[in-house]
Parts: sequence; C-alpha cells; structure tokens
Amino acid sequence: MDAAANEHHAARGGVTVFNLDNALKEWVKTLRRNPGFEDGYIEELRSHVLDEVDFLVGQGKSEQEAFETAIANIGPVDGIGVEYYKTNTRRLVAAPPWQPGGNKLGLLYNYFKIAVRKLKRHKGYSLVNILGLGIGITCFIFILLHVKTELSYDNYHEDGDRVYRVARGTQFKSSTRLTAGNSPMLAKTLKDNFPEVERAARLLIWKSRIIKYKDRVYYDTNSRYADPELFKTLAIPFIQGDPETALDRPNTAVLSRETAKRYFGDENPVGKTITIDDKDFEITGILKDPPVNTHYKYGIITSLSTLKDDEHINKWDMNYNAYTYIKLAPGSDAGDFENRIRRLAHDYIGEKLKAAGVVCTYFLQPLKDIHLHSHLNEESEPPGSLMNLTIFLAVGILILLIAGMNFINLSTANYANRAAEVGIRKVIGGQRRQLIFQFLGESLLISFLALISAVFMFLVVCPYLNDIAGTHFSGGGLLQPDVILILAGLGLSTGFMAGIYPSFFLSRFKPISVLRGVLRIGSKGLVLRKILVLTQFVISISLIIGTIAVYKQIGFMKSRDPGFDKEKKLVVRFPREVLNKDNYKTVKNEFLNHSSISGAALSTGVPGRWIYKWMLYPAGEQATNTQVVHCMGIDVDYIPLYGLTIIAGRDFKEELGTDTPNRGYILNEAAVKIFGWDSPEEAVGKGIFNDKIRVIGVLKDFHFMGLQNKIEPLGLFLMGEDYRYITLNTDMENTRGTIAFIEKTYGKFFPGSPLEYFFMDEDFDLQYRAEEQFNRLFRIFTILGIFIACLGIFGLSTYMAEQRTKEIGIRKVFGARYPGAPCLGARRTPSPSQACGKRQTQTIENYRQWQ
Amino acid sequence: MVAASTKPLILSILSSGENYGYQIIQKVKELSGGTIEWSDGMLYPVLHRLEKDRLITSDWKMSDGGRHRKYYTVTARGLEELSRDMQEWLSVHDVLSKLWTPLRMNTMRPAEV
Repeated sequence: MDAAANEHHAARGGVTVFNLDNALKEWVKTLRRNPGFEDGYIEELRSHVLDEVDFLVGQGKSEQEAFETAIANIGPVDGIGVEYYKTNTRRLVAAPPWQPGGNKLGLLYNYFKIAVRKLKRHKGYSLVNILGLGIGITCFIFILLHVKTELSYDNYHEDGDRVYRVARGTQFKSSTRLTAGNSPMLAKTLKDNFPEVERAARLLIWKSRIIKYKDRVYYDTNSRYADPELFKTLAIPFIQGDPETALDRPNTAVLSRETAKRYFGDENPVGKTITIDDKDFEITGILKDPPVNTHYKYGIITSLSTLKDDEHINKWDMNYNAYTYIKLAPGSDAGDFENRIRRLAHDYIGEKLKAAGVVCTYFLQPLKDIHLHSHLNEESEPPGSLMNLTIFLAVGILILLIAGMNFINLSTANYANRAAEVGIRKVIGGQRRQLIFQFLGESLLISFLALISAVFMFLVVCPYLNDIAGTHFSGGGLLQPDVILILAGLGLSTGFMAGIYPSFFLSRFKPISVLRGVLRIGSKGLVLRKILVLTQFVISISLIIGTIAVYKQIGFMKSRDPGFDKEKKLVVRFPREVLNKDNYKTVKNEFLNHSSISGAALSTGVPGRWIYKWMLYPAGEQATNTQVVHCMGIDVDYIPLYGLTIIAGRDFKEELGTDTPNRGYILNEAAVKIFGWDSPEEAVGKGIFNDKIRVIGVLKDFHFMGLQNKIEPLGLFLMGEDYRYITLNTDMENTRGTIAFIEKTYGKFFPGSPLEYFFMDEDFDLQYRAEEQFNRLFRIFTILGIFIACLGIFGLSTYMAEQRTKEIGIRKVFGARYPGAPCLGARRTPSPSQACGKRQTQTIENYRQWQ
Repeated sequence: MVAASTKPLILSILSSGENYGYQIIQKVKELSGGTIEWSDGMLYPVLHRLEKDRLITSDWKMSDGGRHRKYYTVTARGLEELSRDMQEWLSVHDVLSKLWTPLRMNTMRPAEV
C-alpha cells in the first residue's frame, strides 16, 4: 500500500523518493488501527523491521526493496493482532470483538451496570425523568386509543368500501334539510331498478318501546326494525340462529347478547316469545353485541315484515325514516349511480313533491365516513366530532412534546456530570462509537423504563378516564399491533433524541482536557435547554388558555337562561297511546293530589327530549312555503308551568270554544321567521294548513334543544290525547315521599309498565354531556401537561442548584443573604424574572470571570 | 507441528542467553537451514504468551544504533518447562525413529494418480 502510494506520488511528481521513516510511519498506523496491538508490541515490531531492513540493505538491496521484503516477512498484520488479543483475553471464546462473529456486546453488562448505578445514585432525578415521560406517554396512549377508535368506525365490514347509506336532502323554499333516514320504499325501488345494487336493506329505529318477558319489563331505546338483507349488507355476526331466515317472517326478533342477558338471564332465548308493545315476537337468533366503533348500535332487531300492513311502509312517504343501506356490485361507479338516483323520488311522487314545493335529492354516504363526516338530521347516534378529535390529538402531541423536552433537558444536564467517566473510558481504550453506543443505550433504557411505567399507569388510571370520557378502553387495547408499534417507536425516538445530542457531544471530548478539568461543560447546551424550556412554557400557556376557553363555553351554556324554567320539575313518562281523551284529566288530577306538587302539565315532548317534526305550511301556500317545524302537543297548563313568554296573541284557554284540541297553533319566533312573516303580531291570525287552524299566539324563543344548537322553528298545539310526559312542579322538599307517591299513582293507572321519571334540569343538562366530557378530559390533560412541565423545571433547577453548591457556599460566606441565592437559579431559567438587580448581575459576571 | 515446536525452540534458543525477537528468528532460520519458516510477525505474540506464562521475562534496552529492543530471558520455570519438553520430544523422536527405520524417505511419496 505504501509502495503504491509512493509510486503514485512518483508518477505525479516525476521523482522517486523513498523515505523509510515515512513508510514505516504509515505501516505503524495500520498496526494502530488494529485493536489487538498495544504500543509496546508495535515498538517491538518496528524495531524488528528496522533490523531486517539493515540486514537486507547490507546484502545489497535498496532501502525500498528491503522494507517491502521485511514487511512481507512479518506477515498479515491482522493475524498478529488477533494472536495478541487471544493471549491477553481471559475469555474462552477468543474471537476478537472487532472481527465478524466476535462478541460485540462484551461491555453491555458494564453499560447496564453503570446505567443502573446512575439511576440509583440520582434517585430524585431519575424519578422525575421517568415519571414525567411516563405520564406524558400515558396521556398519549389514551388519546391515541380514543383517536384510533373514532377513526376506525365501521371499517371492519366485508366489502365495506362498496357499502353506502343513501341519505336525502329536502329543499324547501328557503332552506334545505339533510336527513339520514328515507322512505321505506327506497330500498326496494333501488334493488329492483338498478342492476348494480347488489343488496339493499332498511333499518328503522323505533323510539323506545316497552319490552316485556315474564316479569322483566323495560323501556328499550335500542329497538330496530330491519330486513333480513341487512345481515348481508353490514357485518352483524350471529351467535345463534340463521341470518338467512331469522327475520323473514313477521313477528320475529333477534337480540344482541347483552339484551338477551337482560331479559333471559341464563336461559336460551331462541324459540321463546317476547312482548314488544303488546305484540308477541318469537326470538329467532342471538347477535354478537355491536362493537363500540359502529354508528348503528342495536339491542333488539325485529322483522320489518311485521309492519307490512302499516299504511306508511308501502308508500313513498317522507315521514318514515328508514336508514337505507346498499351494497353496490364490484366495479360499479358509485358517482355515476349517485347521479342517476339523485331525483328518483320525483319519478314516483313527483306530483306530490311539486305540490309541496319540495325538491328531494338522494346522495350516497360511504359507510366509513358516517361517524365523523356525516352530521345529518335523524342520525342513529350522535356523530363524532372531527374537530374535537383533532384538538385531542394536538393536545396529546403537545403533552408528549412537553414530556419529551423535559426528558431531553434533564438527560443533557445530567450527562454533563459524566465528562470524567468519558475521559477514563477513553484512556483505557474506549472508542468513540462505543461511547455513543453506551450513552444512546442508556437513554433508550430510561425511555423504555418510562414506557413501561406508562403502561402500568395506563392500566391503573384507565377505568377513571373511561368514566370521565365515556370510553371503554382496557389494557387489551394496548395489544393491538399498530399501538405496540407506535409505542415502541415513541420509546425509541424519545430515547434516541434525548441521547443523540449528549452522546455525540460527550464522546468528542479529549480525555486529557476532561481529566485535567480544563473543560467546564455545565454551561454547554444551555442554549438548547433555554429553547426547550421556553417552548414548554409556550405550550403550557396555550394549553391553559384552551382549557379556560372550553371551561367558559360550558359554563356559559349551563348558566345562561335557556328561556324556560327548568328548576324544580319532575317529569314522568308515559307509554305510547295509554292516555286518551277520556282519562287524561283524571290522571293529571290524580298526580296533583300531593302536597309537594303544585302544578302539572301534559305534553308530547319536553325540552331536551325528542320532539316530533312535521311539515307545516301557511294556508294556501303548500307549494311555496312548506317548512319542517318541531311540533309538540301540550295542555293549557304547559306554557305557564314552563314560564314561557307570549309576546303576541294569547295562550290556549280551555273555556274558549275555538281552542278545542287541534284548532290552533302557538309558534315561536323562529317559526314566524321561517314562514316569512315580518312580526309576531302579523303572524297571529294566519292559518296553518287551512283557514280553520289559526296561529293564536307567538312565543318568545327558548332553547328547547340545548344551547349548543340554534333555536329551530317550534309549533305548540292543544292535543287532548296520547300525551307522553307529565311535568310536575314540586317544592323539592320531601323528594323521596313525592317519588313514592308518583310510583303509587303511576302503578294505579298503568300496572305492569315500567316507571320512568327524571328531573328536568338534570335531564336537560345531559345534552351537554359530550361537551362536559370533552371539557373534563381537556382539563385533565392540561393539568398533567403543566405538571410535567413543572416537574421538568423543578428537576432542572434542583440540578442547577446542586451543581452550584460551591458557588452558593462562597456567596454565603461573603455575606450573601438568603434571597440572593435563589436568584442564581432564576437566572438560569429563561423567565422574565428581574428579581436580581443589574448590579447583582454584574457581580455574578465578575465572579464567573474570576472563577 | 510448527506451533507445538515453537515453545521448545524459543526456550532452547533463550537458554543460551538473553536475546531479542529479530535475532531469535534469524537463529531459527539459520539452524533449520530454512526448512522451518515462520511468518516473522507471529513470533511476537508467542513471546508475549510465554512471558505471560512466566516462562520468560523481558526487558527493554537501547541498542547502539539508538533502537529500542526488547530482550527476553528464560526463567527458572522456563528451564523446567524446557527439560520436560525435551524429554517428551526425545521420547517421541525415539519411537518414531524405531518405527521409521525400515522405511526410506522416497517411498513415502504419495501414490501417483
């Protein structure tokens, strides 16, 4: 090699000069590269080569020839190095570590020991470091699982990419309404007329029915009607029973396992009969419980053929809301199909729609997008919020950032203490990459300890968080491959990032300067640290601002007057069609028969609960002014009981002949506006549907659907039958006695029916549950984030103080008083603390120069 | 074979007085008439091994030409080891000589293929 180099030189320079000293130096360098050689061995070999050269030159060879021969005689250098290594090592398997197949991990045990020793020696620091990162990761795990669940809605269906829900847009004169449900005729029409529709199934939600088996009676809000096709369109696995035939007869039903357990306990329900709203249904199958991540939760599904004689089911009726799911044949163009079905309703009931002045448009929604992207009316469950999800994810990442920065900060600070170790390691032959490997490994070890502690913390706090967030996570959620991957990646990257800077920085030290103590490294990395701490502050502050905003929002919603009196009201719910013209007055009076109850009102709906929606139009304007209006049947006591304000016209009055049930409407301001009337006064006296039914009064708007929703048009009318709720004004004093009285009274009229009652204010506030959950989670995560940040600052300051003990000592000896010392620490953190005066700062600078 | 013989060779050479690596190699070459060929470098780890086994000791000295030389001396323990080796090698030699007397060197060629 040296010869070649020399020749090369010669060729370029044109002169051949062989310099024995240089050649020898080059050769010695190759020896040094081999870790088996020590200085003494090399010197011995060098001396040997020189002897040989002398001898050969004596025999008449040129210096260059002699040198080359001598080197050749010495033999391959690597082999010699290995021999030396074998002689020196105590290990039995003597393949040297630098050769392939050698044991590279020989020092691993030592690294591990040192790492553990460091952890033990700085217990507080280690705890802060591991705990901080651990808490951060715990938060992140929870948010990760939450986001993952939300994003995974309905992604498990076989051929799910070909399954769509057909939704509808109804365009009125001045507004458009998007609805998830559709006419029950749609599914059949699509299947019969469009070859690309492979399957089409309907799912009808029945708002609460009374389900009875032997002595077990419950209101069930999860009951559905469905076609048997549904099981081939969506993934709804059976545990028992045959999907093909389970729902093909009228009066058959399948139950989810949970529902089956509720009514049948350990009995096998298949073949048994259950009573739903006084009709008998045969149980033909048991379904797996619906997973959390589906938008259609079911408890009991009854056959849609049960309703085959219902007048609405076989008509293109817009009042029935059946969810229509279709599966397109493979390879069909969904966009093209959508275009062709857009105006389908007009082919069948064009006349009627035209008369109503309505344009009806169908569109497709991919199954996977329904949960997060569809916010239509009549959704089967409240949809998820993409925005909340994004915010959560951002919070998760921010917390992780805070924790990660802490970790990096504390690690860097701590490494500064280890310059001496680096020096010693280098002196006894540690190579730079070994040091890098050691420090990186150490930092990875700590980050994985944090990861493990995070998993444990998650297992511990999971039930509490579930409680707050309404989620259903468990330790099992961690075992999903992608979660494991993300967590491992997280541990690795945090460890790596925390380790990379110090390891490269430290391993660069020259041992001599470190050991002599020339190098003061405490202040190195200070800029990085300052930036990190500052970023942490910024993140913490933005989190705090976010929390305050969310908190105020909810406070606003809860404290603002909803426009009606929701206090001290107890509401009892009645089954369908049990109150009629003949008995409602008796029932009402019976409930009033208690000293604590001062008032009662009957109605078909109450604020915060589901209310009918009807299509109303002013007399003579059906084609041009049909609008969807929430409608509620009430009695004469309702408006005063709820403290609603009439701003024009008058309230219903029993004694006036024109107010016989159904003969007049009281609208709210929003309804007046949507019909295009200029003022409440103008609205009074207008006819609804025809001239016989008139608007007799206008109500001031009130939030009957919660403050987060805008106030929609509302119409009230006197009903006289089929009331569903009685609202009782109570003095809230002897609540237990009042409830006992209600139970007794209810039982007297409706023996065997389940009693459902609730307090108006509590029930109404349930509408803010999603917001509350969001708020509480946000708050917890913010507090944790700030806690982690504080933990970091605390760790860092303690560390700083520890490093400067000597300085503080000297200062005290010189007469520094107590408040002076903490200023030192304050200066090191980039807070705008101006506690130290300029003069004092100057002194500190002087001192440092002197030092 | 060469490896096994190295130890007694070195010990024998050193038993006649202290010496350094280069000279030891020259001596081996000289005595064997070139039939024993080591790669020179390999001698040094062996010397190091012998020193570690306390059969020889070493000492750095400065040559006249100002060159560092490491001189090796055999220890008492080394001499003991040498006499043991000598007996072993001689007895092996005896046995092999008896076995090989009827044979001639030229008959020991491998059969031609």
